Amino acid sequence: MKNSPRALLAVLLLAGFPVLVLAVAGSLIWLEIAAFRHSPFTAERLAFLVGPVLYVLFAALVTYERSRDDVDGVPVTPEEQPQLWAAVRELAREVGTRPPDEIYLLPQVNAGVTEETHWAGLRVRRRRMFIGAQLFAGLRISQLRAILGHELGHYSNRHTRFAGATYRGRQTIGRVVNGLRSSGSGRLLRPVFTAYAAVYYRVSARVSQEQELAADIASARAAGTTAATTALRETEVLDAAWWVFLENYATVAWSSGYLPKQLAGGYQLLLADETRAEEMASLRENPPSRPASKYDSHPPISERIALLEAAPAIPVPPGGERPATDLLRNGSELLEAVLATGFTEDAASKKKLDWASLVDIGMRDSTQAEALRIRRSRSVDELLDLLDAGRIEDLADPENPAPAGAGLRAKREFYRHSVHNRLSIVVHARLAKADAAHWELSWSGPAKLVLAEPYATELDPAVGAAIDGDTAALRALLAPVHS
Amino acid sequence: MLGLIKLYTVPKYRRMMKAVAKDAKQRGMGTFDFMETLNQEDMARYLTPPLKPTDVARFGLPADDDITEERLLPEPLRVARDAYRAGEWQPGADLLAGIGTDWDRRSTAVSVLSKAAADDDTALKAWRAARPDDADAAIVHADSLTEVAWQIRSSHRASNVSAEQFAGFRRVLEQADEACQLAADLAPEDPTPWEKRCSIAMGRQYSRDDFREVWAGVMERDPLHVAAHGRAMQYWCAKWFGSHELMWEFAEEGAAKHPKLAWLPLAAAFEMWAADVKNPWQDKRVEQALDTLLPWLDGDGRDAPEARDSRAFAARALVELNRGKEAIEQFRHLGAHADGFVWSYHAFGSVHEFRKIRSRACRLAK
Repeated sequence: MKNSPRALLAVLLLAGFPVLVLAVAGSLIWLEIAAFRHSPFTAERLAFLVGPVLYVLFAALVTYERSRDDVDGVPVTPEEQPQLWAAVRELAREVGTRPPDEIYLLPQVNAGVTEETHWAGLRVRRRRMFIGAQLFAGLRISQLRAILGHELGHYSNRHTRFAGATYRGRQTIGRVVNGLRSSGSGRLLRPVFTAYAAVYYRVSARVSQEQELAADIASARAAGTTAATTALRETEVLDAAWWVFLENYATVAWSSGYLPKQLAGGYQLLLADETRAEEMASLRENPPSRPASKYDSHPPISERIALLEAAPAIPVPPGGERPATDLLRNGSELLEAVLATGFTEDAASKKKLDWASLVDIGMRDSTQAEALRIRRSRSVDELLDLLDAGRIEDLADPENPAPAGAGLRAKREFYRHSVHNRLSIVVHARLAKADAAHWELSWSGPAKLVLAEPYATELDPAVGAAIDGDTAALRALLAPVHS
Repeated sequence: MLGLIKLYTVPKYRRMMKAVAKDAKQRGMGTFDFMETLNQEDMARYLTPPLKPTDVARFGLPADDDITEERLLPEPLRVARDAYRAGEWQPGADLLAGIGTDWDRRSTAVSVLSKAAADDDTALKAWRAARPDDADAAIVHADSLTEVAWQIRSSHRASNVSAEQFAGFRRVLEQADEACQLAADLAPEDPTPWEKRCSIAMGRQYSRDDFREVWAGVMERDPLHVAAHGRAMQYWCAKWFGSHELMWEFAEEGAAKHPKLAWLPLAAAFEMWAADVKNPWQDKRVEQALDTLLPWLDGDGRDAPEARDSRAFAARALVELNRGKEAIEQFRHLGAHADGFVWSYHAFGSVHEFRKIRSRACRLAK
């Protein structure tokens, strides 16, 4: 109960939030009435501003009073996934809170429990648990238990009386401020509410941090100390790997109209790659020591791990060594379906391809697009003519001009490297069109360009010579693929 | 808004805006469009404070308006450089051949030809094609690469240098380093490539041990090499890879070797001043250095080409020590050329700095 006065203040601030909303709305209405008496014309013009703002405010009040998230994700019922439900119920019992009413799987490296509430988060209707599909793809059962135990731990009232209300309050106020951000004229009033939210967050920050640590303890108690600490480390890895996966693999052929057939499968191959293992291991060993943002309620991961390790070790219950997917029935199909919901609606229109073809097509198209941008409607021959005339700067990136004081030689040296790259891209695009170049998928790094002979051995030196003003070799190489 | 009012009311900013507007007009741009192309360092140059008018003629010194930052070169070197610029490498090659093993003169000549070659390497290419294994052409080539690298980097502070510039800088400097080592192989007894490598080592961030190896290369060939001492002194500065202590140690050790190196402690005091250390000139080591340096400048060193830098340091130090009459004497030798290293650190330019110190000398000498 040591944080009670602070928690109580947080609850009071939470209760004051609708008062603030009503006060702002009231003064706007008063302003409108006063303006109407003074000059109906001004009032009419003012109404264009006041009307939408009032709408936003009342909408905010309604979302505030009862939180009903638009529920994303794929719902899983106890009938469909008995093992998962059994595990969650058992966890809830161990943590000392009631189990969720619904479970959803989301395409995120995250898990959470939210509640549909009345009375600004003080009364609860339904409790929902969200589990990221990526966690299933990358964690062991014991680690997943630790993460879910942490989320359920937020709702066990063992620690502070108002803890649950404060936690819900943070979620609610954050939602209102975000809601104002997305609506046009609400933006005018956002500073007022952001300031209020900042005060609330400040007051509740300590409470929240204590809550996170308390939830960690609950998690360790239910799942074991090593499961809790390795789960914290592993989610950092899963998160970093997911962004690499999304950017460099999953969406590589997005603009060409393709998506991979096996999203989860690809993600797991990336996680299992031996070349990347070292990078991942170092992230695992050195988790971030700073909080993710000012408003993040979590203490830094490294601090959480240190606290867990300092406490008496709790053994991991047996049976947790298996991959978390073992908790799921038809795991791979389910994860595939969940991850697919992470894209925008356009995803439905994309054709599905195997990984090798996907990467090749994606790289081909992006290289063509890049070549087009570099050529700026000049033909390859014209580019080579420019080089023959010593006008290397005409091939350089216009965004990156040479420094002002540079002489001719310095300019040429400055441009040489980027022009080499740019000319290579143009040539690769040409070769790919003539089927003399393709790209091979690699989970260890960027897709590998494969050139047919003689290009594999002769192209790069020829490009180098061209940049130094001798384009003969490159012209000869390109003659057979001339379009 | 407040900033804008300031620009047109505070005298020094008003003067700055006048100069900016003038330059903008010259380029056919609007004043503010032009200002957007300038970074902080460029803007600082426009903030040149006015100088008190001083009657320099009374002391037989050239007028303020005649001061130039152009380097005063010995006649043969100037001729060779101009010929190089016109596309002829032969006069430069002959000059270097004639200089032979006068390493200090050789270093200066190589620097001057390299600067010209950095702007245009047509003549250098012809030179190297005609004499592929010529050590003179090789060292000019290597040193010109260093110059090219620095042009790519620019002399702006690191925060105003783009990633592309840095990448180019490192790439070309690496080539310069390799070219220096080739030049050293072609002329095993020549300290010049080793001296040039001392400054490459700074750009390439050599560790102290690696630097000492390069330094040993100079010392084996010419323990009294003036330019090399200047470069190594930079390496041992606190702002590069050393400290105030290491710099002073190096300066005193060098100065003890020969009067032509007696300027090193003055350079050390100058670096302390640049690092905002208080009263760096009021130091016994500075006065002792002057006691050795001044007689040498009056005697053996009177016409040594590398003495101009020493003289400039001496002039600066004498002013700081309130020895106006002696300073004026040095300024008489320096004439109208603000080409000393000691003038080069200032945002307002060498010419401004030269005039400022000279005017102080005149007031002290009255």
